[in-house]
Amino acid sequence: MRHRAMHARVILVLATFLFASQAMAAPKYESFTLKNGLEVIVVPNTRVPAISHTLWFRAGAADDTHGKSGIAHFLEHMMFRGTKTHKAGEFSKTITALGGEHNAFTGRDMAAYYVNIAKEHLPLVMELEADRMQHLAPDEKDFEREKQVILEERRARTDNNPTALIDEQMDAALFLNHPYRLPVIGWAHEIEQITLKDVMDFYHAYYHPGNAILIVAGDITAAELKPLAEKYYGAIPDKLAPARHWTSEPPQRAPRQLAMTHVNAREPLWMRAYIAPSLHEGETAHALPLFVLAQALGGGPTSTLYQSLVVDQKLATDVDADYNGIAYGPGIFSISATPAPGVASDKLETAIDALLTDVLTKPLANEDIRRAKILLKAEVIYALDGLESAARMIGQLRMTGLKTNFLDTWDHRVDAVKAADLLSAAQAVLVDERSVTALLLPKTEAADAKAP
Amino acid sequence: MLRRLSPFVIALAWLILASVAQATEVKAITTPAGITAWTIEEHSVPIVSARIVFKRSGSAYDPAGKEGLSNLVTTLLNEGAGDLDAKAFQQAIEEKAIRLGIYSDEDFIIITLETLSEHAREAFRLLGLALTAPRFNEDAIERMRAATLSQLRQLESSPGYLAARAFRVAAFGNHPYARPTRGTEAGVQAITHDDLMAFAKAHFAKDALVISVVGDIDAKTLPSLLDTTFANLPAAATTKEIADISLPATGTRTAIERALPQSVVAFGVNGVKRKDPDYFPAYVMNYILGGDNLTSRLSEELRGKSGLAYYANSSLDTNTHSEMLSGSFATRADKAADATSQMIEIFSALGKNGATEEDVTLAKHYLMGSFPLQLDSNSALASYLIAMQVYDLGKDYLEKRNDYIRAVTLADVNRVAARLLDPSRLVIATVGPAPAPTTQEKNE
Repeated sequence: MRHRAMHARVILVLATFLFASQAMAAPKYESFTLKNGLEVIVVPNTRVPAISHTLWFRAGAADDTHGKSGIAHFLEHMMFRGTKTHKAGEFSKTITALGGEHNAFTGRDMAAYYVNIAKEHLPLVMELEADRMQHLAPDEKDFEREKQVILEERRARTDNNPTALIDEQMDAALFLNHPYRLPVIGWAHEIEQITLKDVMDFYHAYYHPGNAILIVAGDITAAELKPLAEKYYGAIPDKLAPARHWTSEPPQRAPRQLAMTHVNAREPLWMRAYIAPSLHEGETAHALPLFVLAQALGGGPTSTLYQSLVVDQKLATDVDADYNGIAYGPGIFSISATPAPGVASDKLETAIDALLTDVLTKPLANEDIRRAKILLKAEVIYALDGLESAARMIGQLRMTGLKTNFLDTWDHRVDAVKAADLLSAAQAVLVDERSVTALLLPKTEAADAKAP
Repeated sequence: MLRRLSPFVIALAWLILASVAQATEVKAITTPAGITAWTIEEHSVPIVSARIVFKRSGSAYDPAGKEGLSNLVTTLLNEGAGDLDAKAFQQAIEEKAIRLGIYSDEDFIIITLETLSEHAREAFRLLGLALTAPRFNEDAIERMRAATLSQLRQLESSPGYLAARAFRVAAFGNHPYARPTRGTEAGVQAITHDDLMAFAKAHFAKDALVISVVGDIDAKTLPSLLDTTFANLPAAATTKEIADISLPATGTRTAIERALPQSVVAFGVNGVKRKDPDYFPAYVMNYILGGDNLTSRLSEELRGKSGLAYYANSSLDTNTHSEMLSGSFATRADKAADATSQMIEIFSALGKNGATEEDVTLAKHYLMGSFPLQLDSNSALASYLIAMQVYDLGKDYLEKRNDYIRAVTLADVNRVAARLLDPSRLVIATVGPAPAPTTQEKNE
C-alpha cells in the first residue's frame, strides 16, 4: 500500500506541473442510460471504501394533487413503510444492520432517497431500492400513524416557529397561482385529508425509472456499476409519468405586504422577495448574474447591504440577500434584515429601497463583483470534499433540468458575468410592483394596548 | 432483521475495517517552537481543513457579570486585526475564498479553517493575525454586541433552545455549565474593550492550543507555517480548569410555559466519562435507547408505534467536566404528559430489564459498519483529530475504535444500563402550554 501511495503522489506532482493553471474545478463523473430510461450518473471517489447511492425522482411538492398539498412528502415517509416482500421498518433495519446511513428528502421539484454504505453492500441496496420503486405496499393503520408523525413534523418545523410561519405565508403571497405557493410539507388541513390512495396514486404515477435519476458516488466506476444497474433496475418497466402542467403566475400588478404579530416572536424581522428567473425557467440568462448579485449585495459582512445598513447607517443588526435559482420552476430573490433596536421597520424599508434603487441604476463596484465570483467558483471545489456533497450538487442540478456537464463550465459561466449583466438582471427582477414584503413583529404591550 | 442476512454478508461488514488504517494515517508533529498538531495528509482534493481549539476558553470560563464574553470574542475575531480593519480583514478572507468559522461551546473556542490548498499560507496568516493582534475596535464591538443581543432575543422564540436551557439550568445549578453559551443580556451589555483584550491575552496561549490539519497539506512547510502563525502568542494561558460537576442525584421536573401547538421535552441523567471503561458499553447502550431516528427504542415507541413524535433521540453528551446521557422529543401539547410517561417507561425498562442480544448485535453492526462513513472528508477528520487529542484517545484511535465497539458484550450493556438509567434521577424540562389538570388533580 505504501508503494502505491508513493506512485500516486508522483503522478499528482507531474499533473500539477503540466496543468499548473487549471484548478480542479468540477467533480468527475460518467453517465449512461438504461433502456427503460433510468439515467445513471457515477461520481467516483476512492477516498473511503463506500458508496453513496441516491435515487432522485422528478416528483415534488409542486406536483401535489390540487387540494392535497403534502402528498409528495407523505410518499417519502411511506417509502419506508413496507413493500410486498419487506414489511414496514425492514428497509431501515437492514440498512442500519449493515452500517449504512440512510434518509430521504423532498423539495418542490423532487424527492430523493439515499443510502451511504460500505461498497460491498451496493447490490443489496439496489435490490431493496428496486423493490420499493415497484412494490410499495403500506397498510392503512401504518398510514394513519405516519400522518400523525407528519403533523408533528409540521408542528416542529413550522407551527412552533414564528419565522417559519411567516415564511410560509410569504411564499403563498409571492406565488398566487404557481404550485410553489404551497409548503412542501403541506398545509395542516390538507395533510389531514390525504388518503392512502392519494399517496399510492402519486407513487404509481411518478415513481418510474424513466422519471428518475440514479447517482452513485464513491468507490466505484461506471464499468463496475453498469452490470449491477442492468441487473437490479434494467428489468423495471418504464411508464410515462404525467407531464408537468404547473399553473403559472399571472402578472403581479401591485406590491404585496404582510405583517404578522406573534406571541412567541421576540425580535422583529423584515423580509422582501421577488419572483425571478431560475437556471431552468424564464430569462435564464439572468440566473448567473443573480447568483453574483445576491452574493455582492448581501452575501456577507463585506456586502453592499451589510456595509450600508449595519455598519454605516446602523439601521439593522444584520441583513442578507439570497437567490434561490436552482429550481425547475421560477427562482426567488430575497432580502431579509433585522431592524436595530428602536428603528421602525418602515425606516429600514425606506433605506433598503433607496439602496435597491442604486442597484437598479448604478453598477456595483468591480471589486465586490470580483470577490463574489471568487466565492461562487470556490463552492464547487469545496463540494469535492466528502462522499456525497458533489453528487448531491449534481443531483439538484439535474432535477432542475440542467445537463450533468453544467458544473464543468461553472467557472467559465461565473467568469463571464459582467457588471452590466448584474444591472440588467436587477432591473428585470427588483421591480417594486412585483415585490412581496413581510414583517414579523413581537407582541408588545403597546401593540396590545392599540388592539380594539 | 438479522435472519435475512447471510453470514457471508455479515462477514463482509468487517472487511472494511482494514481500509480505515490506510486511509487515515495520523501524524503528530511538533514544530521547532514546540507547537503540536495532529495531521493527516490526503491529496485527493485541493483543500486543507484545520481546527484550532483553545482549551479553558468557552462560556464556562466567562467571569460572573460578563456572561457572553467568550462568544463575543468569537464574533469579533474577524472584525479587524493588525493593520486590517473589519472590512479589510473580511475582504482578505473572501479574496482567497477562505472559510473561517469561530464559535464557543462551554469548554472551548473552536476555530474551523477551510481553505483551498493554494491559499493555505494566507489562511493561516490571517488566522494568526486575528489571534495575536485582534483590534476589538469600539465600532465593531458595538455592532457585534447589537447582533448578539438580537440573536439572544431570537433564540427566546425557539422552544428547542428554551428546553435545552431549562434542562441545563436544572442539571447544573450554579455551576458555570448552566450558563447560556452566548451569554445573557446583562452580561453582554457589560463587556468592555478591556475585557476583550484581557480575554485574548489570558486564553490565546500556546499551552492551551489543540490543532489538527487535514488534507492537501505541504508536510515539509507545515511546521514553520504553524510556528509563524502562532509565534506571537504567549507561552502560557492564565486560565484554570473549572470544577467537575455531576447531575443531581435526584431527578427534577421543570416547566416553561409558552403558548405553543407542540411541546418540547429535554431530558437526561448523569453519564460516563470519556475514559471510563464503560464508555463504549454506554455508547452502544445509548444507540439502542435513542441513537437512531427510526430504529431506536425511543423512536420505535414514540414515532413508529404511537405516532406521537417526529423525532425522539438521545446521545452521550461529554464536556470536559461533565458527562451526561441526554435526549429530547417533541409532541403535540395535549400529548406531552403521555409522551413523557412513555419516554420514562422506555428509559426505565432498558435500565431494569436490559437489552437483547439482537439489540446489541445490530447496534454494534451499525456503529462499526458506519464508522468509515464518518471519515469521508478532510473536515470530518479534522474534527475527529481534535476530539482524539482533547480526550487523549491515542493517535491510533481511528484504527482501534471499532475494536472497542466489537468488544462490548450484552452483559456490559446491561450493566451500564442498570447503572445509568435510573428514572428517579431523570432531569426533565418541558416547554409548552401549562398542562391541563389530570382527572386525579381535578377530583382532589
